[in-house]
Amino acid sequence: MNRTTHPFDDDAFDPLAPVSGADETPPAGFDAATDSPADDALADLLSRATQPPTGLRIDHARLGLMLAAEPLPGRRRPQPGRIFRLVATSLAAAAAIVITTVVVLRGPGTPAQKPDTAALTAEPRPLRVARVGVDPTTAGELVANSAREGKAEVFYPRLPAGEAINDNAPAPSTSTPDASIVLIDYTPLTGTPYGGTPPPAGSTDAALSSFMGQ
Amino acid sequence: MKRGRGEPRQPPAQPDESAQRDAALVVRTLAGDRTAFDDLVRAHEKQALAVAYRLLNRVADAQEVVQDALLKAYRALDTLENPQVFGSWLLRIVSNLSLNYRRSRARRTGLSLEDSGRQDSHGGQNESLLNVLTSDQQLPEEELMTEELRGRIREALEELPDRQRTALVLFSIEKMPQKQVADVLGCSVEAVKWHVFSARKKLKEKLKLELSDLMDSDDEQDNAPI
Repeated sequence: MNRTTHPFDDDAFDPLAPVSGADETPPAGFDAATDSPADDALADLLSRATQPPTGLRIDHARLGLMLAAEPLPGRRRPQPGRIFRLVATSLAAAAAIVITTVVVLRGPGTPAQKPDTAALTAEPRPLRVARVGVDPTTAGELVANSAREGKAEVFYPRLPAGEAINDNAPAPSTSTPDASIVLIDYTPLTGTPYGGTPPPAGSTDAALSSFMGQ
Repeated sequence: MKRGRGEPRQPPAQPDESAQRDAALVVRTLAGDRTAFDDLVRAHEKQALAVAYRLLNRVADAQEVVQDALLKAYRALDTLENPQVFGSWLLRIVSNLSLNYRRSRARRTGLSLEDSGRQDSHGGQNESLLNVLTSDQQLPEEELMTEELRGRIREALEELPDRQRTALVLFSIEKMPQKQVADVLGCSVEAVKWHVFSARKKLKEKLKLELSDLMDSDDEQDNAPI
């Protein structure tokens, strides 16, 4: 059985709240006098004019059916709206927990601001040394040693086709895109070990040694 | 509906015999005894109907509102913190629903409240009391009051603000104690006195002639030779 509702019942209307209206307060010094004969006459007049018919009663059978369809007070069936709110609240709470967990685990800041832990833990990238204008076999001893120790990768970029080695010009930058250092070596060494002594001044190895802080 | 600041959510206690009886019936109802609620209905039905009728001026509307109020009271019975005040609590629901119903009715019909009240008299256009009375119902003696006079009195009553009209109906017509009226309205006893005083003042002004006639006739009866 459907519950009784008024066609223009306002959802926000609360029948259990105190009767609405302007909260008039008596002026200071107001003292209600006792009922006068005029008050009694007025009450009598009003009572007669608004007298309800005798025998006025509600439909007990209808009310009984409606009450029978109601759950006991305090043991209400969950309404569809209530179920929806419950589900929505549960989902929102679960989402909040997941988001909070992720934020806590990841720590503050955006990924772009975070240090790259993989880069920190990885082996330092070897220095890439491009030697231009020399034969690979004539790499200097220091470069060769660095390469063996993994500190440097020596490579010999190809020169543009048909371009002869220019003894006075640096190698084209396009041929050494990955090079950290481009060495123009005009004094190829023979690979003779220095025997613990610094490489000769002015040699490629001396320049490389100075650059690498060795 | 907004609740005034500082106003109690529920009426305070009324320790008397009927209040104790109501409290016991409320407890039994909450324990699952539906017949106890039927007893509560029977105990308060008459006054609830009278208040609703005096605020609505229509038999069918009063019946509908009281039935709805009882249903709402049943549903919210577990929220009634003090079961001794069930009577005042129910009248509060009845009063609120009646006033809300009046506003809805006025909007629905496009009539002003004054027009609505005028048409709701016993011989009104929309719904005559005679049409809704069942065979065992009778018109009271007061039906002898002329329809014109009844219309003027009701019209004057309709023009009062809601709280003044409710206070006057409960106190002056239903003869409820001021304390209980204050419980229903959710205000102080002083405020009830003020509402009643203000309502009386307005009505005395509007019904000056009718009142003088009534008091003159009373005087004549009092002075009549035995």
